[in-house]
Amino acid sequence: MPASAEVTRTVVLPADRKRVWDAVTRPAPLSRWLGAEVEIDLRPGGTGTVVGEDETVRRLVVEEVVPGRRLTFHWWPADREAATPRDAGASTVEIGLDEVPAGTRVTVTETASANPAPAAAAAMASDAASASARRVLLATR
Amino acid sequence: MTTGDPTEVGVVFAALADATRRDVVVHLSSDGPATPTQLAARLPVTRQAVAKHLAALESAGLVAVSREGREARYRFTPEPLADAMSWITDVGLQWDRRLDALRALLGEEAG
Repeated sequence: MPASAEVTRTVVLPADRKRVWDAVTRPAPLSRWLGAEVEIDLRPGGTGTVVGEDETVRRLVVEEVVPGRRLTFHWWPADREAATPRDAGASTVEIGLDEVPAGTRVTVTETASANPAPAAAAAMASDAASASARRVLLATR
Repeated sequence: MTTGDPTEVGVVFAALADATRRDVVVHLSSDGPATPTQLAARLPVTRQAVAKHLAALESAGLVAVSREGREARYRFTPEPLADAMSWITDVGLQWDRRLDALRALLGEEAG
């Protein structure tokens, strides 16, 4: 048994790697499949937001970008007023692309780790800080 | 719509990554609540080692403890396991849906 919970899906899409990379990294196409409304700052440490079809909001932070090959990010539900990153419950998503004769193989792995990655922890801490700053501002208004 | 907190799910799997801890869970679920001494008698580990494993399982919410006289008695609490399984099911279904949409999008662009 792995030390973390992991979900993997692999599909082969009839499109070249460049087109698929475009579709998995640009906000406009991402907003057609990853969620209903996607914003992403595509660089390590860059943040983003994914509003799902069901209106759930997730915040994300990019871990790694290997152009044309691999995108890794951490995401977590934005509605959790988490005291610690652990409470917020981040998982890690890796989207890998490989050329195959039929087109491009897309492998997605989402991992629920017992210990969120430092990048996610930092982003969540700043989220929590701005949330408490907002509360202070509202209270003093 | 994700069921189960991913971090909690991760903690549950980390707790069950150890073979002895899985044995402890199997014993508690099939034979009912037991003390560390009773578990140590059934497993090839010391009472101290069993106590450590039980502490790890307790922090993952997989066992609950009650005091009986001088000894602690542990029972298996399966809820976190059910949460972990539904996390896997839900996340898998979400990716199936998203990848279907990605396939449709790429087909559309090509056509």
